[in-house]
Amino acid sequence: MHIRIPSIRSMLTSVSTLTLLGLGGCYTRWEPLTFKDDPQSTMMPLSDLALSTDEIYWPVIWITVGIFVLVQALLTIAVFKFREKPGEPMPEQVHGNINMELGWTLLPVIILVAISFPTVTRIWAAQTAPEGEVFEIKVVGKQWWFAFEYPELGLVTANEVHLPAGRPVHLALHSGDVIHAFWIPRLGGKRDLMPGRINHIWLTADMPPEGQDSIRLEGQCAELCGDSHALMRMEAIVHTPESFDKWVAAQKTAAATPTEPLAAKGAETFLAAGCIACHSTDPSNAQAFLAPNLSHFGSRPRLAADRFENNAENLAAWLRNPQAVKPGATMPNLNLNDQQVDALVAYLSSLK
Amino acid sequence: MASPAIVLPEHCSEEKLSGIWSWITTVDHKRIGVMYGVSALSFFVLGGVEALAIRTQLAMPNQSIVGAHFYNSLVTMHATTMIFLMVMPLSAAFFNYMVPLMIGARDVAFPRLNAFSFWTFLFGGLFINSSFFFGEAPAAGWFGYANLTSIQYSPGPGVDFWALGLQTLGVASLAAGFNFIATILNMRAPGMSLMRMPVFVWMTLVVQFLVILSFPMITVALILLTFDRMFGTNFYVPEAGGDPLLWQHLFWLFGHPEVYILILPAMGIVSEVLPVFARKPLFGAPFVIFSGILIGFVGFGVWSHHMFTTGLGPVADTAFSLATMLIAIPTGVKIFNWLATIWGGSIRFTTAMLFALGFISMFTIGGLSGVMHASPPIDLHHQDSYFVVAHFHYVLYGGAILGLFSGIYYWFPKITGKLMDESWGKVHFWSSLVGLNVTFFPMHFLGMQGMPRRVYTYEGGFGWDIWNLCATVGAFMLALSALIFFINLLKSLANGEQAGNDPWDGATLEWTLTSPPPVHNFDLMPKVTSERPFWDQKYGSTHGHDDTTEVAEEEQLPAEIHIHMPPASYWPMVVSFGVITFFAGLMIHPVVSVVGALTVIVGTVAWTFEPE
Repeated sequence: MHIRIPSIRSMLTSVSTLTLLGLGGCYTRWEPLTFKDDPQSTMMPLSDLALSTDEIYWPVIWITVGIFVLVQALLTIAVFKFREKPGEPMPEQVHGNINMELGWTLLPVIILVAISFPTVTRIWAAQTAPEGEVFEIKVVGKQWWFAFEYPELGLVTANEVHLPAGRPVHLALHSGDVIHAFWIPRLGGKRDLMPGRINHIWLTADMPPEGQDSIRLEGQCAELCGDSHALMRMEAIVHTPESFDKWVAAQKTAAATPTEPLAAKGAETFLAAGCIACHSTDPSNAQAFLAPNLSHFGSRPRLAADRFENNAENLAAWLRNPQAVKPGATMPNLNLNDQQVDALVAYLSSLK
Repeated sequence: MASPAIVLPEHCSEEKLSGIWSWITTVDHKRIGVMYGVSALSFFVLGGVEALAIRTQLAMPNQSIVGAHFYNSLVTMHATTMIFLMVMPLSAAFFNYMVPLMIGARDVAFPRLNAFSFWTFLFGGLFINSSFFFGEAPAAGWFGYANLTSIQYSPGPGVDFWALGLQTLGVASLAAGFNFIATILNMRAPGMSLMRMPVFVWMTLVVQFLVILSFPMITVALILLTFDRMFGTNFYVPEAGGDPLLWQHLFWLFGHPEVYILILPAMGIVSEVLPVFARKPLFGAPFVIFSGILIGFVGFGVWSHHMFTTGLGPVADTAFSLATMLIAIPTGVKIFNWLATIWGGSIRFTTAMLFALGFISMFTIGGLSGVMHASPPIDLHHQDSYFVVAHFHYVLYGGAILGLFSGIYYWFPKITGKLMDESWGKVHFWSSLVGLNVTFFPMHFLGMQGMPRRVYTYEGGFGWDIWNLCATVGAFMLALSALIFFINLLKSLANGEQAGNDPWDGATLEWTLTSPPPVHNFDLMPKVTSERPFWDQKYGSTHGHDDTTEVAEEEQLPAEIHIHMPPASYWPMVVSFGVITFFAGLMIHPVVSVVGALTVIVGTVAWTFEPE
């Protein structure tokens, strides 16, 4: 059977048209692929950085789907149309066709050139510090939790990072031991935390949804960093400006000394059992990077690097045997007895 | 005119060729190919069991069927086994068995070195897997990123088993690389110019160049790691001024060419199978060849696309992104040429053909997802997520493994003299195709939903549960399909239908021989006048001039021809044993390493002076 060979000109015209249409018109989000109810969806941008990625992601998805459909269609048609029929003669022994080679070389070139332009602009934009005032946050990843320092505020937090919406934020990424990666998908793509160097993320988070003061976003470490890599999670809380100021004020205020007897006992145990050697309950403590800072621990919805719900049962389990909860955890098992555990649970929960 | 009588040396007698010792001392490329194949398929089962354990653990959230550390060992060993002990050796099985036959040679350039490569590979593979029994299987990933692999953060013996085992495998691969380059460049039959060489042989040649140019990088990377771990150096130790990023550069300078080492042989097989079962020549053969060369060459320039998240800076990110997109072009050219090969053909749907067609379909999916993360803005989401796991399983299972199965069904008759059962073959194909899509397609979604890789467990409520369960179901489907394959393989070996010389109406030289071929392959050196020597001999040339391959009828042939075949030798295995002893000794006691080194030296000298 004779193959009709299209001219190069017609192929180039149709391909360029399709590509430009594709890229221009195809920032079309197909809802099922946005995974909009999934906390770590990469398709629900909530920052300028995440939106910038989203704007190239969708056209590229449609282009690849288009090529996929084309290739599979050709394969399927060929397989049906050209299956061996009894008695048919040997097919025409075609060795090749230079026009087709040129055509299907130029076609991918055009598509890739089209993809490369928005790619390169975004590479540069994402790695250029914004002009003007930038809110600084230092991120330190250690096996297996994230520490956050806010130098302008004199505050530290652990496992939760608080960001003001609508303002450029700079996350300076450090590692305290091995390579980790910071990934909160709704805020943008990930960056590694490399020991011996500092990496950077610059972003401006969107305002929380209408009627909300803040929104909690999920993320986790995305570079194999040892036994409990899977448990090294974190949350980002994006605040409206007013909500952020309120949080800062509350955070700076140390939690009240507990008066309830068990909690008071717990405060003593915290010192006597040696917890204080690594953990601080002072929100400004620069020793924060030895072990998670526990200031206002009672207000945190999650514990063990955002892995478990912060309730009495989970907290007690952790205190009794950290390694059972988090394999390889650096926190030693202090062999606390039941009274010590109960007291500590009461104390830590009181730190609102 | 009477054919001459072929006289073979005494060491090629039936008696000398039977028994275990004959396999241990063989230097025959066909037997070595079979041993590579059997080993690779055995490691396939092992790697598959590891995969099933991984998928069982991840079937549902919050499970503790395996512990955190052992899970990391499972993912490390699954990948290491599948890459180095399954896909590469299975490809090597075909290089070994088929390349000499396809180029009209009696064996490879260095038969004893060939045996050495096999034994070294086998000992290396056994050594790495022995780690399960000797304290700890490596748990830092198949890519072993520093500084997680430092003695501080990986204090057990696992990483040492991994590093020294890979060094051993590297020795095997390097030796084979030089051997096959010498063979292909020097030992082609008269008239077989490079452009008349079968595309499978071309891809083999490109792969061997990739091996000899890329393996030295990982050799260096591993030496630096071993020195850090055992001798107190600080190449990768940041506190002492070392740089973990150095490891990544060295590893991926090897690692990226490595993935082309994994895929090009399967592409070569597909390029042989499609024309035979479509009854048309490979469309654009020079373009397919040139694309393979280009892929190999440009493949050395894209390594940092594995490092887009590490903060290399916008210049490096741009350069590597553009280079990676560039590689998509020759890859696409190949796919379109394969489609044009079957277009207008007369297609027979044998199992080999089904697997080759499946390759085109599945590899395209993997290639397209790869193009997506050639763009760093997108890659910063894909990197280290299940999206990448989906991508490489499509190109490795849907690509390399389907292509290699195509080769097995295609060449099994030549190797064994029997046909594999076609009905069970089709069951194997369809269950593989469905199984791999059920396993790996959902992983694209998991990546888009933000699930990272290498996690031993995950929480519910992230939308990941259903896709993980789906992937686990698919994994067990693949296990079942593999079982079907192995049963078919063994049954066909036992009582498969006789194949004859040319069961498929093939085009290349191997089909001119008996199945299996005689120990000396060709009675007389074939004279080749086209790239489809056997096809043209059967059907006449389609190039417009008389291109038939013929035995030189003009010459007067003697009554007897004495053929020299290399004798068997145990020195290759002895030297291999010395190599593994040397490396193992670094973990046991220096004296053991000294014994190993001496064995290598003495063995090599004895080998050199062995009478040919």
